[in-house]
Amino acid sequence: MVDKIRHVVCPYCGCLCDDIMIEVTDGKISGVENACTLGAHKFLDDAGNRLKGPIMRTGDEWVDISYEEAIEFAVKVLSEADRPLLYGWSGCATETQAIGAHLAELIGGVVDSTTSVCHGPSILAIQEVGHPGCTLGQVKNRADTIIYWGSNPIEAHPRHLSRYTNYADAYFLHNAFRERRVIVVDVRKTPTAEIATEFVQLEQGGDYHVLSALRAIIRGRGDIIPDMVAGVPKTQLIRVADMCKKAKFGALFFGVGITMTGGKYKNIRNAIEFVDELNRHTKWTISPMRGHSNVYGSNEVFTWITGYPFAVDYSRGIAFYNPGETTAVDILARKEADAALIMASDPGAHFPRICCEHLAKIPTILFDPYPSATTHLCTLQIPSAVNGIDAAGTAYRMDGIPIRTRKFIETGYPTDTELMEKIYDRIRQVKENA
Amino acid sequence: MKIRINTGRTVIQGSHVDRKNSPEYFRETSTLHLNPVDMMEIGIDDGERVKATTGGISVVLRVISDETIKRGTGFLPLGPYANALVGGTTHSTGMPDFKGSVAEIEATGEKIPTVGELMQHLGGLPYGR
Repeated sequence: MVDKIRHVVCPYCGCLCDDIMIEVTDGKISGVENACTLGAHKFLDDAGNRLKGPIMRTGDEWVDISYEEAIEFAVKVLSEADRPLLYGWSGCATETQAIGAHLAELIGGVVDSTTSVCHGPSILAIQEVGHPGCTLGQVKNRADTIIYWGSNPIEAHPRHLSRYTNYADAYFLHNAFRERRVIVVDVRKTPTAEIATEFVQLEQGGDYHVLSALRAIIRGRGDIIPDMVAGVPKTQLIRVADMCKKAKFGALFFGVGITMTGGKYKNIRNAIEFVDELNRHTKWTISPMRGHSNVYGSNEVFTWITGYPFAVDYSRGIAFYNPGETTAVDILARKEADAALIMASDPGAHFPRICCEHLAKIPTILFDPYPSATTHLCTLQIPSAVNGIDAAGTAYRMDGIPIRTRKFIETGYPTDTELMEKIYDRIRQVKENA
Repeated sequence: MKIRINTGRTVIQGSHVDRKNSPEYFRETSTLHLNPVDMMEIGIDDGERVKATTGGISVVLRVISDETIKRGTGFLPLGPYANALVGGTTHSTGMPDFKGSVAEIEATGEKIPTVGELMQHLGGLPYGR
């Protein structure tokens, strides 16, 4: 039997495209329409890829265990740990994230999301100088000039251009595709640079210099700019500054190309102040290109509950936030954590080697439906339902818009929220009886 | 030769993030893009292997030539191979230097470890069912 389900929300990246059509044959995904390559793989590769049940490392072998045994192990490890790290959270629903924040308080742990290794620096910059942002709907309907800085949406957010920028129709532009100009700033000629009206190729780590030069030109102090800034000719900088000033509505999107390079959050601060400078002449906004489907949600939820957006440390009994100290990479690199709960993320593939080595030494409990790189490092892996396939929940789009994902097949796997509720309740009982 | 390694998403890497133990993910994330002139200086052709070393840690990678890459730099799709070259320092920001590792690159005939083998080198136990 074939079912066609419309208006499915793609749980891959921060675009959260909500116009996906899924074909389900005999309870399994057999077709996908409207999704990009990344989203189509997310849906189509699901069948046959999941772990059948929890697996546990005992000595030099992996054994299958029951969900009940897995929960008991997690409760024991987390309730006995002195400095547990609860990390990940960006691929699960806000409902699960909320339990994660409460669990951190209950056990005096640290709760951090993948934010700390993607747009953590962006949040630090926003905390310093604010965020002149807007929703993607405003960009789609109004923006005539787009900048992608250190971001390659054709490969990382493939439908961003067709839904919100270059290829999207706009209410306030007569012929959007012809009227829109796209400026790409990057260290290499990415596929996105290929479609740019203007491609600015800078030297690696030169973002701060180029942003400062553009700010000076817009301030009317182009005379102090040398002929070449971080590999970019002054003539091109003047041309780009002119394009930006002539925009009726501009939108700057930045990626991890500038959050991960030297300067980190200072690059973003400079980018925000560049937009601030442009707003003396015309209308500009700036927004991060968030990666995981619900990484933005983790920042919202942790802020509501703890007061801070990520890297929250409850070891003192109150919420303490100090990125660089309470962030996951730092805690693991200092070998502080004595237990880890990894929710819906893959530090094995995305953390520095020293952090992976420490995860392999301590009890590490991984919640992931699929075998990942962290699978080989963890002590216990518990497969759960996938938010947006066989579980529903709230996720936040990259512009802060909450969207309810849909459950469209039944698999029998427990959801992350159900598993975390059980673990939280049992640890609370353990603490009350202690 | 010293190469500053940049990392980032590619369509193939991104399409296989839920299949990190697949041959496609392995091949994509262990392939270093280099400028053809740098490859000539290192003495390797397309598809041959190099050993990349930072901080005394080495990882074996396959190389393909890419004229869009500037000399002295390389591009390695994000994943466990790229991160094997990244140190744990975050300069008090929480963010490691994912995009700035300077690696010593030399030709090698050694085998590229699979994702499971790489994790085993870091202390893990490969799961292979």
